[in-house]
Amino acid sequence: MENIEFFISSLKSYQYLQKAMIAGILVGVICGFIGCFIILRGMALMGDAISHAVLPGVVIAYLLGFSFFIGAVISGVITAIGIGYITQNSKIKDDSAIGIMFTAAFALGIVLITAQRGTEVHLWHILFGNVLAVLRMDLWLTLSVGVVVIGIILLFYRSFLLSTFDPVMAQAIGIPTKAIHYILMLMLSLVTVAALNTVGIVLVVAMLITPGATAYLLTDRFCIMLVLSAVFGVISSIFGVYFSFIYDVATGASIVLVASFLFALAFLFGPKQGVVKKFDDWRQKA
Amino acid sequence: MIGDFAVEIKDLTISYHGIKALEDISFQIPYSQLVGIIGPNGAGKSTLIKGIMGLLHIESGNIRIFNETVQKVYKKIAYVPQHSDIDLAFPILVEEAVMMGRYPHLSWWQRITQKDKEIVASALQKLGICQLKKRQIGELSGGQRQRVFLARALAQQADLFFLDEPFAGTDVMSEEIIINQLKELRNEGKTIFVVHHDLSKVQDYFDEVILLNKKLVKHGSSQDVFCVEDLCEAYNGSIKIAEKNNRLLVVGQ
Repeated sequence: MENIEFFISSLKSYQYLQKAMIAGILVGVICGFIGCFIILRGMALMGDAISHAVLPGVVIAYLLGFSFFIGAVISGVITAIGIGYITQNSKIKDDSAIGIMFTAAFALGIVLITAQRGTEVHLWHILFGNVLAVLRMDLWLTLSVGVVVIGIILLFYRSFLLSTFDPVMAQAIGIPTKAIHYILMLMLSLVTVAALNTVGIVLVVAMLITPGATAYLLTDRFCIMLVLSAVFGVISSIFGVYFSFIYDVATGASIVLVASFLFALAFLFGPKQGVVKKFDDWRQKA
Repeated sequence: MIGDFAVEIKDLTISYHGIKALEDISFQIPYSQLVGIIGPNGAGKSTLIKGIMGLLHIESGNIRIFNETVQKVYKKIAYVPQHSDIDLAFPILVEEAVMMGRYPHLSWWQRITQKDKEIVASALQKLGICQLKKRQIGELSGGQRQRVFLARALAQQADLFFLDEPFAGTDVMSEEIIINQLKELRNEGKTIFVVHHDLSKVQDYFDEVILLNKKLVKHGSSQDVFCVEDLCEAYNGSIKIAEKNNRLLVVGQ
């Protein structure tokens, strides 16, 4: 209790903590939403790839002094197109193409950063987040990304849903399934940048996959999965920031650990699919 | 005579990675026909229907549907996928899956109306799956699931139907409900293509048969096409056929 009181009083007095909290909550919602599509399309690896591939774009944007978001979208989408091109024009399968392209982009980013000795770009912060350094400007950008991403998903909800569930029918009734794929990749790049400060590039994929997967275990309806996923993302962020503040550990990693803990709970105790429930059913049969 | 056919295919060739999956296919199907697409594994049956629906790159040839290009009539075309193409764990209920049949009629700013709900309810009714509407699709049997996807096609109120192996993995009752529904659609003037793997019952089920093995082996009424010589040609002798009382008995090897 003492810890919670201390945390709440700190939250009231320290602006940086407020900003970290808001950033965490926003990222939780956005990642939770888009993560549902990533999971059901079987694109978890792609999500990991795009989030890593954003690195060179971010570094170049920093060096040339334009927005991180533009740099990230450019390098994220180029990587996605490159993966698609290799898959379609050679016998390399898509998981290998993903492995080749994103490590290449990531390595390029690291080379660019390390070539700039003495600048303020901190590799560690980009890779693992630095929630204490969230600026007011970053919050506005994150909020805009959230509005754009969630707005697009809600406006074109039916097209996204059908192209995920039955791509052949979607294509047959004239839904541009390829465009939807690349729009998702573009949104992934935006989300990665939005999550740069809170969880960092390396762990973004956890925020995309884990809350969505937890929700997936608990419901049979897609719309409920979207809401639950966002809720789990937010819970992870709030408790993650709390633990990181109280125990003075890395924020991104503690957010991800909370998300993983929620997943473990759903996996073990879920009312329908949970391991404990299955064991009970099995024991009753035996 | 242009315009008298629901589907006209002329010299259609489709390749995957330089290997011809279909070669020089030509046929014309009038309105109000139940058409079986028959052939061995890898004969290009699914490729043919996906090609007609405009989903594949066409190397050469010409496809006309209701005397238009596919792009102009896609709302009138309904598709029932092969059951292995569906993710059974997808978080979607039966009634939501059937509602997807209404999607072609809804623009992105439109909401689902009472009328859409009525159409879905009537489609569920026709296929006898009303009591399953709140189930997740993975909780159904194979036959029930095929009825769900046919209900979705009905809800689309299409004029042309493509079904990819609708009877694979179904029970007898589901198969009967499905074929009766297809015959009813045919009687209403719709044209229906069914990819069919099982050679038994072909003569009972279909008006016309397209016998396929990369090339068009034969096309005609199901009584005419379903003769020993044609089947042997399509299946390269990999089946045994016995003729009895003018009915064919087919045994796979």
